[in-house]
Amino acid sequence: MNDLEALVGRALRDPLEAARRHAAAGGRVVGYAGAEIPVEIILASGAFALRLPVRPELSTASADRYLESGFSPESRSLAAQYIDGAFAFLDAAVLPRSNDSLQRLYYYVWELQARGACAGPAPLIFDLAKLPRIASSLHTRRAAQRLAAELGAAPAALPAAIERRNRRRSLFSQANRLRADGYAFAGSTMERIFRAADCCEPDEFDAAFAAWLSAPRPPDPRVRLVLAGNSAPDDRLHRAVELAGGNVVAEYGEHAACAFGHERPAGDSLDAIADHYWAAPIGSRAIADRAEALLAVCHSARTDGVVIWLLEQEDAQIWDVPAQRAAVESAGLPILVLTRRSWLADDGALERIAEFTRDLGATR
Amino acid sequence: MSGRRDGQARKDLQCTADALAFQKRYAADLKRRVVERGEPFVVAQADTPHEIFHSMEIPLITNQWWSAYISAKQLSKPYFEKMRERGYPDNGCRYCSLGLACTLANDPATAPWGGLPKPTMLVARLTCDCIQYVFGQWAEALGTEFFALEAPAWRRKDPRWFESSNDRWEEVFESERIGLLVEEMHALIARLQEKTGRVFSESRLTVLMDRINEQERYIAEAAGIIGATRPCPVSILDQVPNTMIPQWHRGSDWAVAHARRFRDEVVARTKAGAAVSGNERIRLMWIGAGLWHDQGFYNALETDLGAVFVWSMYMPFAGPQYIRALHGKPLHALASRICSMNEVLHLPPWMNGWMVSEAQRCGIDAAVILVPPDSRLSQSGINITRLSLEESGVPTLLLDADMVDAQGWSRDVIVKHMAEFLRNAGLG
Repeated sequence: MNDLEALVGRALRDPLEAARRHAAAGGRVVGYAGAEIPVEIILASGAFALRLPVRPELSTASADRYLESGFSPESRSLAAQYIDGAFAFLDAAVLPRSNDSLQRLYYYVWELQARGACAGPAPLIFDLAKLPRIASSLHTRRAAQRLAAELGAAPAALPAAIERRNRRRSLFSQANRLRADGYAFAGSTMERIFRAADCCEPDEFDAAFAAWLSAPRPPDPRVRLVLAGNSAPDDRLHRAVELAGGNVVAEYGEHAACAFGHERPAGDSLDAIADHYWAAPIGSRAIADRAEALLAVCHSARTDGVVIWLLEQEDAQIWDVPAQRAAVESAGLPILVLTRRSWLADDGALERIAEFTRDLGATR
Repeated sequence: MSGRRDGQARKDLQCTADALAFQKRYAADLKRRVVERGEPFVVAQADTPHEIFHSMEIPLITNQWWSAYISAKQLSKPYFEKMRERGYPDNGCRYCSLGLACTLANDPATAPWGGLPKPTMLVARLTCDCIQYVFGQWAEALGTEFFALEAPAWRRKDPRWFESSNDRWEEVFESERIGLLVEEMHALIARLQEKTGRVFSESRLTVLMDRINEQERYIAEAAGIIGATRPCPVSILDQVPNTMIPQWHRGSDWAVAHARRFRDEVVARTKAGAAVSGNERIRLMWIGAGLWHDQGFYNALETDLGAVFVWSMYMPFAGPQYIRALHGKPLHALASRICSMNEVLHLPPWMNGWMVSEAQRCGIDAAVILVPPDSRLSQSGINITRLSLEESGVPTLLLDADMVDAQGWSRDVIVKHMAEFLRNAGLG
């Protein structure tokens, strides 16, 4: 087993382990949720930036008492861990306003803490505005300044923090490019790596990832699929494709692989970071043509087909389904659309995906 | 009491009939203005600054009113079926999207007014993830633009917000949040002026805001009387139209006069000892949007169980959420009215803090919370509110039903369910 595989395996078995170790050694740890938190600001505060993990294997009973059915399963998992004390060792936790479930969770955790029903740090909110309007951009700049003040991020530390995050951006981008170019990277392996990344000590992870990516790979002859929509709790959708003889070569939507968007921040100031997240085409609040964007991913990945998998709780991406389906079909690509699905994919979704993959293989 | 068909909603006040008649005339006039004369008009969510449109004399169609109008014509089911046929998953927010569904169905033979003509713009606050999608697509289908307003985070978490919201609004709702909405309103005004040629005047807005304050004081006074009087003198079927119809026209001569008349009728009924039910034994609170497709449901428990819905959010909301001391800053005062309208109704600690206070004020025995299955916004905050109410001694029932979609609804089944809940709570 190489360094990266060992690191990823450890991180996925116990996603809090590295952060707890950092805290035990006297370091600060700041948790965050979603892909729209400016991790650069956390890093500039000198803290370990921990992407709060979803844990499908843990009970959510403690959260079910308070959260309504419309909450995303990811936020429900985070709520349960928060209430059950798993995040009590954190120095701070940052939630995004730009994700509906997570911004509601911010208010719920405050309320539960006021009632004495939830341990851990009082959550902070990154008040990201996404409208393409100067007022929203300035509001986001003020939000970044506030978050920096709340976390104690030093302006002088920001350039180095941005550089560290850009290093991660480059690695993700390189990995996604190699997958799209047809080299043999199993989608499930990539999914595990992408998920583990922000639970690991960053320098250690990036060094291991860079070394792993540099190893030569043969071309991959399998059926190529793009996976769009929601993110499953782990790599189970990717594995379903692989077991049927295919491979997920790109993702589109709220997947770990897509966490960074494409561009780097255009500077090393707090304003540049704020502007970057304000304009980034990620998250459900981004103003974007998601049919065109999905089609662009399909073209660059030279895909044989597309699977759109959406949860019962999803109420944003579902509105793009007709346009996305039409765009994909107009490009002559087969598409499987699965909506109102269970997060655990225990509703026949894996079988449907496998069948779709096998059909693609048979007609190739 | 007015005569009615069995099971039909009963409305007792003369001013209710007048409000409904006014709204019918207004709808006909609005149709004439926007459909026949082609005047510019706006489609906007309820939680947007209608005052801007009113002060610029731009006709307004509120999405929620339009949805209720479509729903009342029993068109929600066929229109949502059309959405399914177009490939939309059927777990989308129905309350927000019925107008879009009507437009996409593109069936002038059934659509109210033969369908909406092209509005000047659509306006909505982004209070949940679906809104920019629904309104963006609706705008595209209507061939117009969508002007979105941010819904920023709110850090000051005061469960007693309603005690100081009229005057100390800058502190309660946060000056930065208010400032953002003021900036957005300036942009909205500029765009409206550009597209309609109509001119905004801050002095006209100031007059309007003063008149709205007068109107809302009458409603707040009526809410205070109704909550304090036993037996309840005015049913929610009279409370809601006499609050909401003037609310759609807030600050107009008719709206101010009607609110005063409603207050006067409430006072008169109270003095006369009038009662919604001659057998009031249980005072109920209805939390959530109105059950627009079956308003007769509210009357159904009165006779058998003496259970009267004394409270729904619309009327008591007028006092804390609409009345604003202007402090020489009418746009800022307006922004403070709008920038938390959804949050106080759907998020802790504001929602539960206010509901518990209102339940105590009105001597509520039990509460019913509407839980629409496919509206995350309307679902939000209900579990914590239920806990808060129950901790304060108010048994609370969660009722799974949609406010505009009648599919799956059976009044008889729900009435039995309610009766069982009240019995189990020791109230039946």
